[in-house]
Amino acid sequence: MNRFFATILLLIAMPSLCRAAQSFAPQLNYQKLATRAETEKSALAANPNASAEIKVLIADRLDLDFPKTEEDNYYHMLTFSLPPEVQLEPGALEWMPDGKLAVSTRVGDIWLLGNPKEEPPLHPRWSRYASGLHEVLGLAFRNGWLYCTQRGEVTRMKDTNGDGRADVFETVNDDWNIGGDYHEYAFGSKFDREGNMWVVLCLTGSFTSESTFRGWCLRITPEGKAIPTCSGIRSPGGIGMNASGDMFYTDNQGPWNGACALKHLVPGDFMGNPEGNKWYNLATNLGPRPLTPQSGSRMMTEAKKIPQLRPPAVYFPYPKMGQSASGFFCDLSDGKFGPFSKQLFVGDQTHSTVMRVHLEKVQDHYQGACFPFREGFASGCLSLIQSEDGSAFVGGTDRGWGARGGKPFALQRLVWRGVTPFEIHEMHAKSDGFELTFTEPVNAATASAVSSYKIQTYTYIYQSNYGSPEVDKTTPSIQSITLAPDHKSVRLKIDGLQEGHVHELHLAGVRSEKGKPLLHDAAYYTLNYLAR
Amino acid sequence: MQTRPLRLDMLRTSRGSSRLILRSLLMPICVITAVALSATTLFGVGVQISPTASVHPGVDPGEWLLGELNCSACHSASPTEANRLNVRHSPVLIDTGSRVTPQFLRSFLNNPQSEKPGTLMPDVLHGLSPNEKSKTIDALTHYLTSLRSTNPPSSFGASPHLLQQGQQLYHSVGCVACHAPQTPSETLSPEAFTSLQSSSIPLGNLARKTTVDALANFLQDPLKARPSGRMPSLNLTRGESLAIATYLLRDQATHGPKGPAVKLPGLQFDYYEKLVHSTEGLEGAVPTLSGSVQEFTLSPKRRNEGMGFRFTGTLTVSREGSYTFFVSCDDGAKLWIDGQVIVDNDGVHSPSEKSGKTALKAGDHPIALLYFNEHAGGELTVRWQEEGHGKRPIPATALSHASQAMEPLDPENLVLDATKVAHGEALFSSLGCAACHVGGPLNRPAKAPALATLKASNAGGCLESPRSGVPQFALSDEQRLALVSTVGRVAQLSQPLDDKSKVARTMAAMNCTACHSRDGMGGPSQARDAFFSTANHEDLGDEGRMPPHLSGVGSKLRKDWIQKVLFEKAVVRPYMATRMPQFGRENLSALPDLLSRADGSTAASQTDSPPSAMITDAKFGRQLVGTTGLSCIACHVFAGHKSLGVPALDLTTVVQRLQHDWFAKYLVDPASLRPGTRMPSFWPEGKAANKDILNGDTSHQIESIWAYLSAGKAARLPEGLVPVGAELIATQEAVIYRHFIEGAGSRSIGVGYPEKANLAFDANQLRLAMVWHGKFIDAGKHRRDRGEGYQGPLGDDVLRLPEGAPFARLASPDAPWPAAVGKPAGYQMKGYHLDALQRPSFRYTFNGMEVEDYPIAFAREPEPGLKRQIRLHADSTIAPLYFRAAIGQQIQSKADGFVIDNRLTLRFQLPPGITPMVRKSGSNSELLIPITTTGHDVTFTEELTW
Repeated sequence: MNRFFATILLLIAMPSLCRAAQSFAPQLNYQKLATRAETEKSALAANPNASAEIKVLIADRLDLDFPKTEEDNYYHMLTFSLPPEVQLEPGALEWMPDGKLAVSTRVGDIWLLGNPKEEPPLHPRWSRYASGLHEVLGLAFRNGWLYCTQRGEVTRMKDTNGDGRADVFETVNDDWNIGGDYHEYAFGSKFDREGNMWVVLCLTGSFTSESTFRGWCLRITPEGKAIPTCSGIRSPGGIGMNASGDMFYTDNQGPWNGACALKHLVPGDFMGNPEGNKWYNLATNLGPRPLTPQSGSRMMTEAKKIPQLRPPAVYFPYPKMGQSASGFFCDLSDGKFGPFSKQLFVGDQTHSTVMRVHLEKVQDHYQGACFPFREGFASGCLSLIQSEDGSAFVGGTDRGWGARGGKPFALQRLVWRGVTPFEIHEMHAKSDGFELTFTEPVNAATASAVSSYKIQTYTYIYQSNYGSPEVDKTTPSIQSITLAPDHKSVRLKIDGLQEGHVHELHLAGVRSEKGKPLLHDAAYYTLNYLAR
Repeated sequence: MQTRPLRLDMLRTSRGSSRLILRSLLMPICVITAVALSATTLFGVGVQISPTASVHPGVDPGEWLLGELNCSACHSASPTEANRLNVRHSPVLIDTGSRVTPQFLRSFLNNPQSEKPGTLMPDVLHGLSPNEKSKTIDALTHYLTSLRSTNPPSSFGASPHLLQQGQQLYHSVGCVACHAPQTPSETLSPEAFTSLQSSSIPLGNLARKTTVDALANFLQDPLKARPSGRMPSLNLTRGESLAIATYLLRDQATHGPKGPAVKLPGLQFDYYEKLVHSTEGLEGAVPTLSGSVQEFTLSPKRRNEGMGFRFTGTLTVSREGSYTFFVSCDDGAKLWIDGQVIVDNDGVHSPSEKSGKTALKAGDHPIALLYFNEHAGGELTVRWQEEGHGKRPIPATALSHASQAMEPLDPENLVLDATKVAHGEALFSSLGCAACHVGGPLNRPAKAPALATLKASNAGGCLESPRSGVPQFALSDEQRLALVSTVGRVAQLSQPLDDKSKVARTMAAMNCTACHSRDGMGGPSQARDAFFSTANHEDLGDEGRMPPHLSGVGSKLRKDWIQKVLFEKAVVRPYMATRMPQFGRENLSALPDLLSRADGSTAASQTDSPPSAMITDAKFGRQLVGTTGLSCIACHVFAGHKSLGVPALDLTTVVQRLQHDWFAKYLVDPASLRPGTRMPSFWPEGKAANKDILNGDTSHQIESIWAYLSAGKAARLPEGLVPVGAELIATQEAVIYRHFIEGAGSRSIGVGYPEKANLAFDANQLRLAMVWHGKFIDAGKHRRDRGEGYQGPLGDDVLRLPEGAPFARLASPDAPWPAAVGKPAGYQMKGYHLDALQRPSFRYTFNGMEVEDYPIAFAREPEPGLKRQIRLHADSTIAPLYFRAAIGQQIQSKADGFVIDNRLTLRFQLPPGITPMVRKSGSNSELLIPITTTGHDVTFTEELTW
């Protein structure tokens, strides 16, 4: 009974949900019973000849009252119905000044969703803003123009006659080449502090660089000039900024990428795949071409030899965390999306999941940990954006690359239910171990017991072959555990930290003060640099 | 990825000896290694097996040696002992004379280790006096040479292309899993290369030993001469065998005796995978593949786009006369005869034919052709026409390429002497050769004690200072100790082995572990890794190139499937370049059962079909496999139909191959059974990702897929596999389609107008690239799968307009039109504006001048047309400037316009003072509009009807 009571309280505590419930209350007869099945049966009986909308409403209430998974208790997933007969595969998402959500698609349309915040979304208002574009994987709005990154160029567009459709399309920059290879994707960022858009260009066939600047990141200035910025890119899945405005992108497992990873883009850096370095002669703004790494070596061994080589900030161990890292957003909602303020939320296309990343700077390099966050999206997560109300929008597609979700494409929204999950909050490298903070106070006995933790380390072969197994495995030992007085963090003193290794930590034994296990008990910290 | 054992190589510490620091028990040891050996140091040899080896349970190194050295040929073994030893029989010598040269036989008999370091053949003549030895060798050479079939061997020429093909095959199909790579490569350090030379199964001096014909015959059926399967068949075709043989005997071409010139039929070809835009781009390119073809054909190509060919050879003309050559191609090609360009049909274009005429004398003329294809299309036809005769393809009989016959090195012309043959035959028997080799009367040396009675220490025996007449094996200390140790426990040989040990023993003997790992042991070594390549499907990652691991394979694969793989050449991974060899049914007949038992497979999981109750669930399985379910076909081939992504294993083979329980476990957690696989789990931690089908019941879903797939190739195709079209139709407004449009470049902008006239604008070259009538375009190709490739127009009357820059500033009216296009020529795309009917006006700049090209379709009988309004604006005077409106073989000026090649009519509205001009340009004509009006703005229109 307690749980039901808590859920009702929760409903009252959530203004947006109450609004939705009120506006449809007259039509919907719904009474919560003991089980989902009973409730559903009674609701359907109480609403004879229920319309499709009522059915959606019932399903949504059932999901809230009877979460299907543990994760559902904390983050509620809403699914938008899409215009019929439209292949709406969201490649990028952006907010229009009037609050509409712009959704670009892999088949070249840009759709506007007029009422993205409707809960649950019963009557999504879709309108087509543009069409006939070439696989748009980047959207950003500035000064009345919607900028999009197509395969072949960055274009900006606007609707000058007010009919709701763009009619002016201006080529902002097309200084890279495409040769007709389907893999030559281009992902565009939002604008950085200086007003630049960063474009990451996939290799040809994801193995070689046959057209100019394949395997590069270019910055497109507000004036439309392209500045060659970083080389070494293989197969990006998304690009975006952290809370400080530093630019990152995800790159996928393959040649020279032992596993998928989040990488920090710093002008002049070499991101690891040497195929595109052949274009260095065109990058006169940069220094000398980086040395070609030794295949079969390790990332940190090569990073010491090649000054431009920037190791991945965070690996997503394959396939434990995911298999195709994609788009991401930084939680800038200041608590409206739960307790993970300023962390990154990264999609995985194959697993149809969103992962969570906490970054810190060690020896002046970004590195950090990734954690499981939310699974069960309807299609392969590709594009993500946060709304100013904190909720997240996730677009998915499984065309060409299968995804667990199973739907060919989808647009979904993830809303925090106001209840804090018991999770690892942050993971920090210390000179002699790690500090873990938690979203709730931990039970002292379990959190202080070495047996509650399991740690192992490994790294990847840095090689021209595809991917890598986990190699150089070690099992460090936890020497001591110190619990903070507020019981919200622990210090693990560890013997055997491995520079350049992923440190995989499982906290199966740790309980909260209320006795709950962690919603996700795994953390993967990429320890490129030891903390001093 | 598979775990690999420590790679254990020898460290040479001093000449003639080596020290074992690490070794892999799983490397082949059917060889006593390959350290260069002086005739006097027989026991200083490094080995790859050690008596202390405990790396592989079940393989006793001494026992292994007893089997590999065929000890039981002399020391008779009981059936149990023989079974346990898994004996390697020696080569069958019935046809030696056809395969092996006398010069090799002499040298080999004189000192096996010096002729072929590492050979298992013992020295049986070591005790003879020099004179006696020489006579014995002579007689044996005569006898063995006399053992040959009557068919005379064929002579083969040193085709550089076969040689290259052979090199490629040798290093990819699996030869180098056991033998050493022949040339150092980028992926192999010099140290690793050298180390592989001395730790691989030796080939000896093949160029001295045999001929291309004989070696090719051997490669096609190695089990005939070497029945024990240690040298398996790689299922090579005759052509492939010839290529590998040519490659392995390549020294014959460079250092060999000058054989007679041989004319090989057909042309040599080099095939390139390179994206080029004219045949010049192929100059200096490195061919991906080379070989010979009967005629001009693109059939050796491995992909259609971004590729090219070079054909070279000799054209033999029987009659002097005037010949016209026709080259029809898409994209470009260039034909040379006697070093002269005869047909130049170069450049990117749709199928078109060009011809050239030349006078040829009777006799041989060098002929060469370069061809390339950039995107889409891809065709080549070469024909000729002798004056007064019909146009026809050049027959294969008129094409040849020259070569020199390859003959063995150090030739000895042996005239068989009947007396010596008879003497040799007697010796073959009396010396004990016949104990091991089929080839003469069997005679087991009576003095050799039976295996069970062997003593560990027996001076004068094989293991300790063998006396005259006792074979002297080139054993290393470790090998000898291993044998001594095993002989000391000889009674154990009469105990049968357990199943797991038998499997390990078989896999070690056949060197399965060179490619496959099992229980953490074996698999390709680091140095050999790069030789496992994919047959052009790189995107499968390592799964596309690495042989699967065999841990638990007896509980993974059905027994009847294992039999098919081992004995019937069944393969399911066409994307792997390395082939699964055939070892001979006799040699592995017990293995399928052994694997099943060793890996604990149950009879139940071997059953043929799912329970009948499950059959009705097949429809759910079909849903799950299709795009409305889990979209398994996003990666997997289905009944031969291409997947929507990478070409992963054909799903319709699943039930035929796999045991049910393994399948069910694999689906839930693929990485646990196949570490490193890219196959994701759709039931993570046992929970179904798809909650809709069968209420997300994991086992029910998996069973339904099993039920569905149990129909094999007969299964109804899943949803989403067969492409559906997506025609774009302009009804009230224009429709725009930016994509890869065939004929308009990688940055094309297609526009379909409601009037049913369509165009494609090339935003790389800033030109109107193509116009057509009727239906606009089918976007289906780009909207399914990964959207690979170019899509052409859907409608009719497709007219491709010439490539090149639209505007140029010419120094004089005769100056040639510049070849540069796009950015290098000063052009920059600026975008487009849409009018109220969504029709674009394209914007670009040309060296600061702004250009707007605004085409509008208009209805007209019988077909609609297009009218372009072209506006120019510059901050300074625009003139002088030229607009190139058309290129054609024939441009006719009519009252109200121009007709180009009787196909396209252009009508202009031009400002006063501007007059179009037609001029010659090579064999073509050009229609130019000279912009002579001074001013900052010029507008004119061009109407196209076709």
